[in-house]
Amino acid sequence: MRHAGNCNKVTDSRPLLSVGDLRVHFPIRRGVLGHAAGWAKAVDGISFDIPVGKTLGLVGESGCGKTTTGRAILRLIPATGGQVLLDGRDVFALKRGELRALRRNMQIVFQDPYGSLNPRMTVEAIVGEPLAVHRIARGRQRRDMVADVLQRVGLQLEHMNRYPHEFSGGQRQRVSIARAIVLNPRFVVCDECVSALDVSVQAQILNLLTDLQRDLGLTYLFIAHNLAVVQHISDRIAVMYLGRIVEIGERRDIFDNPRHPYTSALLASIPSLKPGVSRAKRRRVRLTGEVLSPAAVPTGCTFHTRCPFATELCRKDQPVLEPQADLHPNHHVACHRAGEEMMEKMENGK
Amino acid sequence: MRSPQGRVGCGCVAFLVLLALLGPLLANDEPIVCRHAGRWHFPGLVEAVHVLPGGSWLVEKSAPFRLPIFDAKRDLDPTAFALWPPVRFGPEEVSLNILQPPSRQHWLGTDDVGRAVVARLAHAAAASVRVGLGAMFVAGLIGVTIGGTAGYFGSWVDALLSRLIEIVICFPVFFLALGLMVWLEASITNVVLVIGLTRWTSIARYTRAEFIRLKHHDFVIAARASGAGPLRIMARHLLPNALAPILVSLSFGVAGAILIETGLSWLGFGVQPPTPSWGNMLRAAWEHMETAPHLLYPPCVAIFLAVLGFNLLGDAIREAADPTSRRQEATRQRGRCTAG
Repeated sequence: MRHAGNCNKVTDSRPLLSVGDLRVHFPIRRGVLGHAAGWAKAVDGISFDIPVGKTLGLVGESGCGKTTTGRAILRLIPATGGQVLLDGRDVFALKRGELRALRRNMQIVFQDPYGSLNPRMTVEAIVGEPLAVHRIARGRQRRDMVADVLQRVGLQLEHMNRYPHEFSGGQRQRVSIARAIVLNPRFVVCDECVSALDVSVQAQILNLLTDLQRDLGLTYLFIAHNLAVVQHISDRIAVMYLGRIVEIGERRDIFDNPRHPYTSALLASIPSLKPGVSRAKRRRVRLTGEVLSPAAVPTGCTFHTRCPFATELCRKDQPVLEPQADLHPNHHVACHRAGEEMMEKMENGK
Repeated sequence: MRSPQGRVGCGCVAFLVLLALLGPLLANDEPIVCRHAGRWHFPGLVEAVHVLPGGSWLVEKSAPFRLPIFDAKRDLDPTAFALWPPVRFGPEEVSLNILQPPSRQHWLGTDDVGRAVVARLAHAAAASVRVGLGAMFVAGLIGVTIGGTAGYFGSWVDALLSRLIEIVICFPVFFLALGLMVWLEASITNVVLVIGLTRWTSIARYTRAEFIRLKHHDFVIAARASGAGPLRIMARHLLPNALAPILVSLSFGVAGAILIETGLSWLGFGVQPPTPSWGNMLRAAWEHMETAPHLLYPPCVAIFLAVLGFNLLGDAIREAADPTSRRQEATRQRGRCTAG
C-alpha cells in the first residue's frame, strides 16, 4: 500500500492514476457578505487506483459527486484535500507551467455533446486547438494530424470544415473524443460521455472507446449513472453514493456478488431481456426517495435513510470501505451488514 | 433583419455611411476627374480617400488643386474634360448669396455666409460617422477588456473592476465630456477619445455578464483541460459567443455618441467651423431662425435619421440573436400563412 486509504491496490501492474482520500467541499454562501454557512461535501474522501491501460467505471446517481471527482482529478476544479498521482506525479502540487505540460497526458470527454463544442469553431479548429496550445504542429502539419485523428474516430475528411450544429449527437461525441485523444494522452476521463446518446449510438461510441484503448493504450476513468453502460468497458467498478465509494471491485464481482444494498438496487434497475437467468442471483432491492443533498449528509451510514436493511448501528456509525472475509481481496464494501447474504438481510431487516 | 424596422435601420445606416464615404464625390467645388493643362487630375477622388482614416498619408493632393488660389470653377478651361459631382458646391465654399431659400441651384438653400447647405449636410455625415464609429471602437476595446477580465477571473478582480464601472457610470457622460473638452483642443479626435473613454460601461457590463454565463460551459472547461490560457479562452471561446449583446450595445452607443457630438458642436466644443457638422450647422441655423427657418430642417432630419437608424439596427441585431423572439416570429409567420 502506497499511502493511507489506498486500499484497492491491484497486484499485477503499477497504477497510472492513484487517487488518495480526495475531498472536494463547496462552501454554501449565505447573506450579503457571502460567508460560508456550511459545506457541501460533494466528494468526501475517496481513494482508488487505475492500472495502466485499464478502465475504472465510476457509477452513482445524479449528484453523488462522480463528475466532481473527474474534474477534481484533472484539476479543473480545486480539491479541498487529498492526493492525485498521475504516473507518479502529484497533480495538485504542480506549478502552472508543469500543469500545462501534464495536461497533454490527461484529457476529458464530456456528457453533453451539444455544450462541449464551441458553436463558433469548425471541427478542424476544435480538434486542432490542443495542438496549437501545446505548439505541437501548425499549418499543413496540424491539418494532417487533425485529419488523422478524425479518421481514427470514424469521421470523414469533409467534416473538418463544418460547425458542430451540423452534426448528430453521436458525431459530436466523436469530435469530442478526437479532441481528447489528439494530444495522445495516457489518461482520459469519460464523464458520462454516452449518457446523452441513443442506445444504438451508445454502443458505437463504447466500441470506439474500447478500440482506442486497445490501440493507444489509454487508461479510462469511465463515469456513468448506470451500471449497464459500464458493464462492457470497465475492468473494475466503483459505486459512489453521496461523495463516498460504497463498493469497489472487479467487474465480475460487482455484477455477480454485490454486497452493498445500493449496488444491488442499481443492478436491479438494469432492464434485462433474460429475467430468469440474470436476475436469479440478485434479489430485487427497490429504493425509495431521492439522493440526499451533499449539504445535509446524515450521521452514520450516509445510505441509511434509503436502505431497507438499516439497523440502529447504521444510523450511528459510519461504515468504512474494507475487504470482506468471504470475498475477493480486491472487492471492498462499506456496509455494516455486508457480511450477510442478501437473503438473510431480507429476512432479518425490518 | 427580417423585420421592417430592421430594414429601415440598415437602410439608414448604410445610407449614412455611404454619404460619409462618398461626400466629396457628391458635393464638391472641385471636379471628380479632370484634364488640366495636358495632365489628368483626380481632386475629388483624392478628397474621398482623405475621408478614410489614414487616407491623407496614402495620397497627396496634386497641383494645381493644392494651391489655395486655384478655383476650379473659374480657372479650369471650359473646353477641357471635367467630370463634376452632382452638387457643384463645396462645404466651405463661401458666396454672396446668403440665407437663400431652397432653389434649383441651391437645393436646400444657403447659410449665413452663402455656403450650400446640401454640400455641408453631406460632408457633415463624415464627422458624425467618424465620431460615432471611432468613439464606439475605443469604448468597445476598453469595455470588452475590462468587462471580460472581470467576468472571466471573478472574485476580487471582478469586485474591483465592477466598482470601477460603477464609478464611471455615476458621471453624467455629457457634462464630463463637456468639462474635458474645455481643457482639450476642440478636434474630432479629442471628441472621439472623450466619448470613447466615458461610454464603455454598458459594453463592459454586457461582456462581463456574458463571460460569467459562458465560462462554465463544457467547451470552455474542455479548452482549460487542453491547457489553454485565459487569453486564448477569452479571445477564441468566450468573445465570439458573447458578441451579439456587445454588438447591440455598440450600435446603441453609436447613436448616443452622434448625439453627444452634436450637442458638443452645438455648444461650440466639438467640430469647429468652417468644418461642417450637424451640430454647428444647427447652431448657425438657430441664430437665423426668424429670417431663414428652412436652415433648421436639414440637420434636424439628418440627426433624427442617423440616431433612429443605429437604434433600429441595434434592435434588429438583438432580435436576430435572440432565439425566443425568432421563435415568436416563426409562429407569427405561420399564423400569417394559415390566415392567407
